Amino acid sequence: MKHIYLLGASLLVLASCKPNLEPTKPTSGDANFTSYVAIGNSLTAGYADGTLYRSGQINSYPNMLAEMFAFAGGGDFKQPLLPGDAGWPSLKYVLGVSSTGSLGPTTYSGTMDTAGSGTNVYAAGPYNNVGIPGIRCIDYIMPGYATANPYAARLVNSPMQTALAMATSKPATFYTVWLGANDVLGYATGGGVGTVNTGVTYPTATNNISSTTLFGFCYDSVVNNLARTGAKGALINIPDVTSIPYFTTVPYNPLNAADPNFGPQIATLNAQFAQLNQVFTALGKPERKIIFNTTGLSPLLIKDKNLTDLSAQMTTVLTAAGLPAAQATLYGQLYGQCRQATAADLMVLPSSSVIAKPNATAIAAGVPQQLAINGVTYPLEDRFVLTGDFKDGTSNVSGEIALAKTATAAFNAIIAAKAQAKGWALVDMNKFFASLQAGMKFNGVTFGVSFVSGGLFSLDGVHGTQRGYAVVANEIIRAINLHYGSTIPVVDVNKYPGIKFP
Amino acid sequence: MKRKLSIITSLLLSSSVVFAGGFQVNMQGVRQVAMGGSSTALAYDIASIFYNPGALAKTAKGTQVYLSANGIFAKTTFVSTPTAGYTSQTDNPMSTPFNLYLSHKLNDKIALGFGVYTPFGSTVNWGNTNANSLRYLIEKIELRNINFQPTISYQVNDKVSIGAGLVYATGSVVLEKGIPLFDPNGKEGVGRLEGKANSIGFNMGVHAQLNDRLTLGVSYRSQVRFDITSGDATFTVPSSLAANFPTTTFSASLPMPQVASLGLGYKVNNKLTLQGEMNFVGWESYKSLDFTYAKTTTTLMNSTSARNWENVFIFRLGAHYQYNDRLELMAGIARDPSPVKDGYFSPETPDANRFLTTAGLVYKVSDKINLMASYYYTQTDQREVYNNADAVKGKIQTAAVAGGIGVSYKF
Repeated sequence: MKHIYLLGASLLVLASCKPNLEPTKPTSGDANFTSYVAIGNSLTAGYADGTLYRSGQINSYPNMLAEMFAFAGGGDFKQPLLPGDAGWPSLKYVLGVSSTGSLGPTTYSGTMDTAGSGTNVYAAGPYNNVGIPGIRCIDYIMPGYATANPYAARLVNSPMQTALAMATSKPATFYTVWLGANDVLGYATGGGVGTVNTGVTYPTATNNISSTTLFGFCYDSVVNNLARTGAKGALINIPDVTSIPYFTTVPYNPLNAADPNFGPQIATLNAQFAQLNQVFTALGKPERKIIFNTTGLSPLLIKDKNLTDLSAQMTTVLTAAGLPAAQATLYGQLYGQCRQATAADLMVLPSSSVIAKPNATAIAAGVPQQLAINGVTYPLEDRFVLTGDFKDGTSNVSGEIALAKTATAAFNAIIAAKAQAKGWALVDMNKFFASLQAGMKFNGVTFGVSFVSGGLFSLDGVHGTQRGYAVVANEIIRAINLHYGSTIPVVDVNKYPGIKFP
Repeated sequence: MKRKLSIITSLLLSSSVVFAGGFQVNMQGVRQVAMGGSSTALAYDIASIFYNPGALAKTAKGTQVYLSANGIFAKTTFVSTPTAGYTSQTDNPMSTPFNLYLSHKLNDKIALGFGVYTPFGSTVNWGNTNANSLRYLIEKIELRNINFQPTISYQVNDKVSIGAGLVYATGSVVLEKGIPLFDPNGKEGVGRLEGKANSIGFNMGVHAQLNDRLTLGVSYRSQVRFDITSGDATFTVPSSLAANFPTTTFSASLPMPQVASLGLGYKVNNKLTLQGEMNFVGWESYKSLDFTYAKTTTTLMNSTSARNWENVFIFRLGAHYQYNDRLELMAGIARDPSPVKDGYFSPETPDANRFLTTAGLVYKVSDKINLMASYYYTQTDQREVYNNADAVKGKIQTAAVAGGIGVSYKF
């Protein structure tokens, strides 16, 4: 029977057989990844779900890149990690179920990671990921900026050290630079309340669009400084901010006639607005008429500060028509600069929590409750809408979106020219984000740009999920390989966590 | 957020099931495996119930029983391309195809036989951890097929015999794939489909002794199509999304293709016999894999995935050497091309052209008892694979070895 044992032994030998297929060794081409530093803002830092937290930093796109660079001579990659995972200096969003049973972002119920988060960690540096959430391109060479930004304050050796000086304290051989989004994003997420700066104005308010002149000067200084030691790199341009879920999730026409809280009011509303609509016609602005559809969906009523303010004329006309003076004045104030939204307008994500609800501030100021319903009888405030273009009577009114797009194009032209001048790779993230609108697949998983379900954007609607950042990393790798002739492998997107559902 | 989030449409279960290694299991007899899988033309034993029922009248003597089993160890490696950022590797359990044959020679002319064997089947386990980037395509699949075949064979004259069997086929499939939805602990969703089906088919053949040296065999096994009409579909997802993935039943259909074989045996001398064989395998019938669910939602939708496999010809060469009265030695080779066309890669069947080498021996313990052993080895080509529908691209290679043992007993 000893043959049986022989057989058993030979089966064990058989079981050890395996394919001899081995991965090919990646190469660095004309680039040198020995020492890699990532320059940027929140996207670079690994910010997600409305804040910065440790696991998001660990799976930041620069860290993913560094892991891939390591296959082709890349060295260690050190990040200024926060101690906790709850978020700092505000708690992160998590998905929760509301009382009505629908899913949506809620604030994480755990304790904030305050202990040690604000501690300056310069001494443990230098760091390879020097992304600073909130920083604009125009802030990058500004001494004292760290006093206004707790994320920057952690990293600098003194409050007066510029972000650039901190980032270059140890020169690298390869840089990625993804700066500039905040030079327009703050304006856009703020619903276009801010202004467009020009010349050398350095605004401390973060909801303005930065001056193109100043942007160009700062961008030049940053890249020149990085390149002075002969380093190479990749410059990443700015995605069109209006393509992200923060702007595309809330529709312009969410008011549904089938909604029992809204549908039965439509006849009354239309009767009330009929008189006002005659005034709009009389004043040559028939496009401003307010009409709610008796079936299907109706657009929101919004304030559009770019429209000619007709308050005084409206009050005059209404008074002449026999309305009491106080009422005529109120109508003029409320509806002198408003219109119903169109498909060209973008509602910001936070608008979803105020739409169709009474505006407490307006009521406190004396507006009757029935005229204080946000987006229905009370024009949705400027900060909740990034307006599109609008034909108002005989005039074509250019909206806030156009300003954001113009600025994005101008900044991207500066970035492209700089990449060209330095011979660095240009990562056209703007074009890539546009392509994502149609969705993309990775090893059987479909990704898209829709909020939560798309899988790319985290719960703040602006920043990536870790899988979203992996997709970004792969696009950067693609551009680097193309430009430098390297063969850096792609990141396994499916390796990273996605949004957690209750 | 007062909106219902219509979560994740269409990204799930968009493609799916089935087998591996071209999922034919050509291991229905020890001598036959040892001779490169060929045995249509050479009638050594009652495994001809499977290989060529037409030869049974020649191989059956008195009453016989034949039992054999194989242990297959297969590993597949997937490496992402263009350059390797990640790899996946299967961790398959040993699979054990087996065969049981009974025969009884009724008279000079007629032999009866009964076979229980496993002509198709596969177990592929890529793993369910995040080390396996392919897990949303497939984590694990187990395909089993057992055929029961009553057979009759008739000796037409000195040279020619014919035979036929009715095939009653039972099949089952279990497959699991990841669903990219995470619960509060970060645990990923999984979908599990489990189904059974039965079907019938036939197996027939002709065997002819052309002259003292030459033998000819022709056999045909019909297609057997498994129609799963009420399989169980269960999904483990975060509780807030449970309504999107109801427990339901599914239907699907899988073809086990027709196989036509032509073999020629040549007796070189009293000791050495050679055999050449060609199999035509009708994989073309595997056009798509479709799942239809009894309950569908916006996230659990019926799916169809193109397979478009192609027919293949397998070429086999075997040698048999009668060392002495008690010992037979065998060896063989075969070229077994993949039916999976370029661009249709699916990790449930990580298939590539394979070249296999085999060897074995038979020891005659007594006039009644034979002990048999075989060895099988293959390493497929390294194949560039992709599937644009799933956006997957890489390189694969499979290595497989199998050890077989068997015993036959003559009453």
